[in-house]
Amino acid sequence: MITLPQILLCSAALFCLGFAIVLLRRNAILMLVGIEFMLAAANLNLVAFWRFGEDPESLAGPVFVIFNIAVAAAEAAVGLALIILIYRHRRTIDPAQFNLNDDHA
Amino acid sequence: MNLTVSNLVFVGLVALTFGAVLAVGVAREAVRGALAAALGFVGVGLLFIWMGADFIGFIQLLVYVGAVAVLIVFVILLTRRKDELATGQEGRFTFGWKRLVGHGLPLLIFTALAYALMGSKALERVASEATAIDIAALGGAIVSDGLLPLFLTGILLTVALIGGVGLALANTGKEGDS
Repeated sequence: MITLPQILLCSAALFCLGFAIVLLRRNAILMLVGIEFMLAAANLNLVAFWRFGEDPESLAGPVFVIFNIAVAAAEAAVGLALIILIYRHRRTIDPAQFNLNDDHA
Repeated sequence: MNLTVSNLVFVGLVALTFGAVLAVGVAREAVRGALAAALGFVGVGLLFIWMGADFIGFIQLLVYVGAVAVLIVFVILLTRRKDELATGQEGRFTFGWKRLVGHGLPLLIFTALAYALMGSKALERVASEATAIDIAALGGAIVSDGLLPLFLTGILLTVALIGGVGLALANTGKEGDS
């Protein structure tokens, strides 16, 4: 039987892998993907606590996950729109080369 | 850990998800990273279904694999240039002193979390008998306890839609039809 700490360990590893992607990749789109994986790890935790909790009738965790997914979808849409806008100005999606203080690159 | 079918399925799904996330980290081209990310989202959705949250698993598959992954692929295709295929390789999961923080900080956080999890007695629980989410009860919970968050999510999605259109239209007058 899989126990709760094993699932939490897996989601902790997923969170840290997503965090490593955000820190290491120099591609703004893939950094956004890393953030999505961090959010997915949090959602896994919420569902795991619902599944292993003492009161399976209490649906606070799954409700939270649904709102979380909606917010993450909105964040991805606006984030990708921002990336396209920055690309039109800077001709790059490498965050190390975004210099937002300049008027025109 | 005994080898039941359920455990094997769990291990397989975790391996699928982690393999896909690692592929995002090491992908040479961003498009391959995006496709690996779609596979990772599938893995997470199947993990939800494995835990008995079928409805949330299907929502995850619909929203992430159906919408977000396709959106990401579109943005990569829109922002790709030939000379960026070479520079895009920088910052993959390779080792080097410059990237020490990038590798060390996630590893440190994972070590701390794993240490806390292994030492915790409060988490030794048995899975409840509930095998699937009661969708009617879930809907009831959303429109009773979650009514204010539901309205706020609706406003947020509207604002995101208008913001996306606004960002897409920004500076089109100045740059012409670029």
